Amino acid sequence: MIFMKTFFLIFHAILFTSIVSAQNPELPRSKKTDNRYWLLGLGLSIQNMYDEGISYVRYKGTGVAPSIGFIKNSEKKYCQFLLQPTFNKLTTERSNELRPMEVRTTRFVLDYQYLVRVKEWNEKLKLYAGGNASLLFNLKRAEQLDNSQLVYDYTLSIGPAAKLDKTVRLNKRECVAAIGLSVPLLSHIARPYYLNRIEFIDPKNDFLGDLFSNSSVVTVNKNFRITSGLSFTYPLFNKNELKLGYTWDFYKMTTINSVYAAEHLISIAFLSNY
Amino acid sequence: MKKIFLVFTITFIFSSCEKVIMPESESADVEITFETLWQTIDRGYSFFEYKNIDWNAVYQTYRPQINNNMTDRELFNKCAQMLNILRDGHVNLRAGFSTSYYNDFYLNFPANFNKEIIDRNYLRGFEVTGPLYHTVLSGNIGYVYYGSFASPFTDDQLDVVLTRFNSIVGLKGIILDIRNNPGGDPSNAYRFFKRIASQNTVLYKTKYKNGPGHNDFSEEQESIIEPTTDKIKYAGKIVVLTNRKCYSACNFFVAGCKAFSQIKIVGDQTGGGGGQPTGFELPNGWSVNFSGSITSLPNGFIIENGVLPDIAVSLTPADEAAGIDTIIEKAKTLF
Repeated sequence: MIFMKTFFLIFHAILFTSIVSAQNPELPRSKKTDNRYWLLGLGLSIQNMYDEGISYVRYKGTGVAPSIGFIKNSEKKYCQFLLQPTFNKLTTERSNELRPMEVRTTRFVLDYQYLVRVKEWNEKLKLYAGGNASLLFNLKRAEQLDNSQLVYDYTLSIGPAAKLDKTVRLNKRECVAAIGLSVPLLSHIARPYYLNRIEFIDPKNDFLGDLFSNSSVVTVNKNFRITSGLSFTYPLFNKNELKLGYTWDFYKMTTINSVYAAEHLISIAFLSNY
Repeated sequence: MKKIFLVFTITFIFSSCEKVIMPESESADVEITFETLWQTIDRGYSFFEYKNIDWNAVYQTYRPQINNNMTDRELFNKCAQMLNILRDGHVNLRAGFSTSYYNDFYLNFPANFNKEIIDRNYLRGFEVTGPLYHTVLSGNIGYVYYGSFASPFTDDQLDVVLTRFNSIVGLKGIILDIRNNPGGDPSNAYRFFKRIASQNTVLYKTKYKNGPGHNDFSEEQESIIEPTTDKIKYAGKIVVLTNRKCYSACNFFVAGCKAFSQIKIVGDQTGGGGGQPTGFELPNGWSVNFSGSITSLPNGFIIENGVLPDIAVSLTPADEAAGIDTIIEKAKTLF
């Protein structure tokens, strides 16, 4: 509840600021050709997971996905910084009240994408390509496993990314439909120790300090991740925009065992021009 | 419009790839569940060698008894029977309708504990500070009963108890009675050890399973307690009372007590539980807990089957009938 209140407070603050600032054309701007936006969104996250650190059973479930970010674009480049936490409760059809099979996930994705225009077929169809740096931390809690209940996937990765923009007219407004793709090539990954051990019987047990003890630098063979998405941006008043999006994010990470995770994210975001 | 529809369709098909890439759930039938259980223990359990258990032979014995026509209850009973071969109280099968336990570690031995006698004849006038019941016995000896490491005590609560005992002039020492303490959170033990340690002290050493082989273990890691520098300490003698129902975190606590010269352990051997419990879920939704590490004293003694007392004392039937706790009476003579 506190979270939702905070979210709406921030949302309204940004909305108000954007309306006020967008109406003042005299505000100093270093590069007037850029469009800059604060992004504030909310989405529905649908996750599927098969984690050999928990069981050999597929889990699925839904949750909320707020997002906050920053976008800067121009004719020649597109730059996006996005923080997207999701909070899901996953379960299986084999769960029942006597023995609930439940995994609560808290997943943070922090993405930085920098793209430049590489191809322009016409004014309405443009291809951007560049790189994406992504930090993903997915903390899972399966209480039925007692001391082994905390499982996590961490990856900090870099790789190529691309985006195809198509301008379309809707209600006499110039809207942008986009399709994007990114695939990390090099990653620093971490998963729990064998049997998800946390050293409770050691007085100096340090869960946070041990998070990265079982980590390595890998390529796509050990961390295969693909993020693709569709978005539709609709211009509002004062250069503000509304963005509808669908993102599919899949990864398979392998250390001492493998985890498969997929997220379908349907979101709506307000882009506040400033 | 057609193009947009096409893009959406392609993306939808693309995103459906996960159904192909991601493995299907393992079958929940009886035989697969049994196989997964046996394999989980095979790859994760830490005491096969120490207990001289041939797990492959166990498979050969039990696998022919398993078939897909069995009911859940029949499978549970058979699996529980198989798991009891490990003779480990940390091994539990949790099926929802029942949980299997191995408890011969105390059922095969005398109780050496009668709470009624303690309540009536020793704890009269006691104070309760959190989960700690404390009083002063005849002979000016402090007495604390702590019944479960699952009930945590705070530093402030420990301050209250230690302040009380430190303020009693001529107090000879403290009896810490942890009989029938089934374990819980070991961090309560560290909170206590910090108050009595005068220097960095090695409590015990632990090696953790780090691979599927029966002998795949990490390097041994020492568990070291550092003395507190800013909290109330206790420097006097302590006698810790134990019996066979001291298990798991309680067993680790008693193992740690061995490292302190001012502590004497009196009573019966502890029940054991010297592996850190770990868990895994089976395809049918049951889960299994099992030991995934080996802890030993600094001298190499493995604590899985219990820690020996410094002075072995049993509750005699004659004393019990007379309302006397033989073990407490012995402890009182050690100050």
